[in-house]
Amino acid sequence: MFIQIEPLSNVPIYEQVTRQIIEGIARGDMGPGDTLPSVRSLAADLGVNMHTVNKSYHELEAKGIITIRAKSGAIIRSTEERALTPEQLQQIEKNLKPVVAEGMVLGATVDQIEHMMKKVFADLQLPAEGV
Amino acid sequence: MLLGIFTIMYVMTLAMQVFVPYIVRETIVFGVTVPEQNIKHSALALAKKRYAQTVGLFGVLILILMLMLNWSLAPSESAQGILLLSCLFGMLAISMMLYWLNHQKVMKLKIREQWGMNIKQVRAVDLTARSRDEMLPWPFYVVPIGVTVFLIIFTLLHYSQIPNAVAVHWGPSGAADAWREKTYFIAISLPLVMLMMQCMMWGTADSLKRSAIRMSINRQQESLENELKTRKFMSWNIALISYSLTALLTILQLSNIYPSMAEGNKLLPFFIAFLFLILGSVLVYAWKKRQLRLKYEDNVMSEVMDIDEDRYWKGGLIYMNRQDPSVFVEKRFGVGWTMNFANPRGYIVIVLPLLILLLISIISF
Repeated sequence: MFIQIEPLSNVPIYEQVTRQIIEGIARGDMGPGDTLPSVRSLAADLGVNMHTVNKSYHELEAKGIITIRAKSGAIIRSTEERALTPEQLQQIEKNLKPVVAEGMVLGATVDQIEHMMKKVFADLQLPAEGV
Repeated sequence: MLLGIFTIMYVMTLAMQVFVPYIVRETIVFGVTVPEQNIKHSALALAKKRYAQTVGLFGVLILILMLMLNWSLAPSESAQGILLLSCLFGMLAISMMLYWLNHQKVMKLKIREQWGMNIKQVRAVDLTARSRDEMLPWPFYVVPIGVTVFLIIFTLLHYSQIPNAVAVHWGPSGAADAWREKTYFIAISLPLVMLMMQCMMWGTADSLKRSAIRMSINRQQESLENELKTRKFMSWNIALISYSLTALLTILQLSNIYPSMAEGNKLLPFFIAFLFLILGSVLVYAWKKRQLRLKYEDNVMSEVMDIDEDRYWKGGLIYMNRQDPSVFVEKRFGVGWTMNFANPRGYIVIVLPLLILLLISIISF
């Protein structure tokens, strides 16, 4: 599974890493039980500070997507383990709010936004074609 | 003999200097990052060709001068050594100067034509690459250390058997040419030097393993495969050097305990074999590098490029990047790897054993 970061982007690097790993899992590039590389080696490969990767992994853990074990590293949780809780759903709604609001202000209709959501969903579900 | 070996070394070094621009990755020209979008700029190919021709020409001239001086002056062995070395360094100085001039030239061209100004810089990583990394595990580098420890114990047990003058230096003909009076420290100084070198090899291999697996954003899969092959090759290469060094120094140490081993020129073949093994491994590495480098038919049409790290390379030669956890990075001009001088780990792994090694050498010679 490939991830790409832009060091010069406005989005902090740890957030780029978090997002890309989540997207990779959503696409099915990595599945439950798969191990992420160690913080040290991912930091080396990305050419970034270890704290950056560490922060990203802890964020993924807080979101309930991975489990960090002292010895075996960061493991992607299985679908049962990451059963959606009401709190998580609330969090997602909260994150979605500013985006939808921006759309509303700019004049996007409910249909358009709904369509967009479906499109994003479908895009992620497409089998990855030679990235 | 010395002249013969030296001439071979000189020619190999010269060949390396001449071909360096064609061995390093095509996106780094004289130590300057060139976006793949501009890679086929005509000035670049011309600069490389000019550099190779000029270095080649001067190199051959210096070689001829060296041979002529050597024949006409027939210097003593030490004077000959100075002559040969100054010719080698003269050639290296000329190639470095030409490198520097070209570095400035490409840099100016890049700024003038604004290469990569509006291209997004991206770094790609394969999260599963580490599990496919086939570098040798650490025990391979620890076995030679075991040999050294055994050798130290063996030496101390046979201390009384060692002659009163212990050989501490060997000349170009393979015969010992400097001795010291026997003490416990002098007796084991050679294995101690060996130990430090083995630690350095181990440290190098380990740090290489921890260093980045670099990919090229526009040719991800291909560059990843090449990188993994290079890493595997490097780790085998370091192990080979570590083992052959261990073999050579073990033989030297045993010849101190059993002086009959060093009679006549018995040791010479070992020195020559070692020398050729080292030179050979460098040549094979250069050839491998050339094989495994990405080949470009044309400028790449893409919206993204690899990250331009020019600002971390002082003079295009010395790498200092505080943010980068890698200890070693590939050289930008030359064959092999160089240290990240802003990473303290490198100093522990490489500089510390080197200092101890120097200290042992100074005390024992």
